[in-house]
Amino acid sequence: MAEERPTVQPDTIRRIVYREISNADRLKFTARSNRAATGGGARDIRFRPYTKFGDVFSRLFPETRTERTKANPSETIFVGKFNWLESGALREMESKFVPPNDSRDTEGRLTQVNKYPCFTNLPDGNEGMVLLLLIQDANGSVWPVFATEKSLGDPGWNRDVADKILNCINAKRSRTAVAGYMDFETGQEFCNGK
Amino acid sequence: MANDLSEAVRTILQILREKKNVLISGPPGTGKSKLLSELKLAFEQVPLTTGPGAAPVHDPGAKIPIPAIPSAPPPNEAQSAFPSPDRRERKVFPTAFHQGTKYRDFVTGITPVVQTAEKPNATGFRVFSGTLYEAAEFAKKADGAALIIIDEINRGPAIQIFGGSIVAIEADKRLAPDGSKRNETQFFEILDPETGNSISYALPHDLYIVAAMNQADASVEPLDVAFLRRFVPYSLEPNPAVLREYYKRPAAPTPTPDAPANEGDVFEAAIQAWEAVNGRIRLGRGAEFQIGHGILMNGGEAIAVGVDAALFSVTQSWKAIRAHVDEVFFGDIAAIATVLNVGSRPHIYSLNETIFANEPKVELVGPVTVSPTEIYGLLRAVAR
Repeated sequence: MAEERPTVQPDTIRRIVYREISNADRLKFTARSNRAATGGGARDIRFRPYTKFGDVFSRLFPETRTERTKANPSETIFVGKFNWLESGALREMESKFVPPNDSRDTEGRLTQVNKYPCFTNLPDGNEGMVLLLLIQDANGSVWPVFATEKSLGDPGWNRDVADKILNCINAKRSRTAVAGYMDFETGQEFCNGK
Repeated sequence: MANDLSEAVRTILQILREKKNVLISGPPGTGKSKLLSELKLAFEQVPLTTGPGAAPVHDPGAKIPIPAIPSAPPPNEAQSAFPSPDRRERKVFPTAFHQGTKYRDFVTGITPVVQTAEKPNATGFRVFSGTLYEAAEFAKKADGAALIIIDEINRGPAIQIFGGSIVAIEADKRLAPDGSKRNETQFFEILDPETGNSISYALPHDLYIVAAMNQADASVEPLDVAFLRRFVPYSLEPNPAVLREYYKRPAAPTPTPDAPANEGDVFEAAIQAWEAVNGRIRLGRGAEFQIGHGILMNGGEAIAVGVDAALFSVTQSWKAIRAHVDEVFFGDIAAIATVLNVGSRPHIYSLNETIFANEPKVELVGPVTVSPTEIYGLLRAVAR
């Protein structure tokens, strides 16, 4: 039986934000603590420096909203929607990106990643580094997708995109997660390594 | 869509692809506005082909979410007409020039900050982004292509409006497709809307300009040769074949009876009279002062059926034709009489020669407004 194709058609890409998912990050997707089996711990994926990622997230999540947070009673956050397919059907859910706070003044946060059903299919770690890709299509919709270092070597990938991510993985950096973006609308690119 | 393009649209798109700038000219009623509308729709269509180097594509749900872009098949004739065929974000920036249009409106310039409900205390000035700047910035995007459509380009001071940008609009003076500077790239100074500073600016490869004008209109300031040579001219002319097809008339003129038997006779008389008027205008003032076939077409409304309805319809069209003749030959009664073929018999008009203030004068005698009962005879007399 032929594979049933989803109803969402391929679309050109405006921008891609990518970030390494470390072993510590993996626990955030299931709301488990890094240190104890208490169920506590952070649920946020952090992007630093904010001076580089703030602008691209404002395009990814174009609406702003003021919310009360632990650190700030009147925090302006970026709000958008994550899209994904579930058995071929389109699903969407509100997504949030929170600017730096006083305690972490250089990083923005993709919050509460444990709440999204689309993050349950996290690849295991035997294919090299795992990356989260946030792909924004020409129609503005944002799709979170996981990729591995090994899968990015598949010749079926768009080589321009895959090679830039692989080059960023191999770039020199201090002890920080691989992260970067490609903005095909503005022509800007960033990789947090050199 | 690409295969449905009219020949005129396809030709202009092909010229744009190579030369970047086109100037459409023609008498009123020759279809300039309709052509501009067709161009707008055609340009904004996503081309039917993509090729290597195009923007990456996201395939939701696929095993590889950002697949390699397959090599495109060779473009067919219609596809090859598109300017920037590999660019998917396409936008048209329409504008019209008038006496009040300024450089600031088209390029950039300082404008007062307006107080609004959101900003009730706003004061000072800001740098305004004009149509050319906005379109150029859009075309500079990785997957962008922009078309500026300027209607009535000669109704404003076009040379002042373009300002220094005029040196940079020619195809060989643009930036390279990847946005880099070429040896031939021409820069001009603008006020940067981002910073307010004066910067050197060049126009992108994937920016196109189509302008339209009626040559017979009085220009605020004439378009000089140096300006005009930066545009490839595309002329529209009155076309009787369009009218004959529109009214389902034979390709060649046919004799008209003394009294119309059906609406076809009325339309045949109108077409022949319109051709005769244009023939005389060409001799008296020049081809650019003719009146286009659109004057006899009723703007997309249903064609009149029956003699009475047809007579009413062409009477309204005739009023516009007569007003045009009066304007073109303003004050020259003898010329107007010649265009109307006054002197042929029978005719509802006659020339009365008289003396006024010891000088010979001529007066056109006849109805100021022609009625549907008079129109058929008048049309036949004009066409005779």
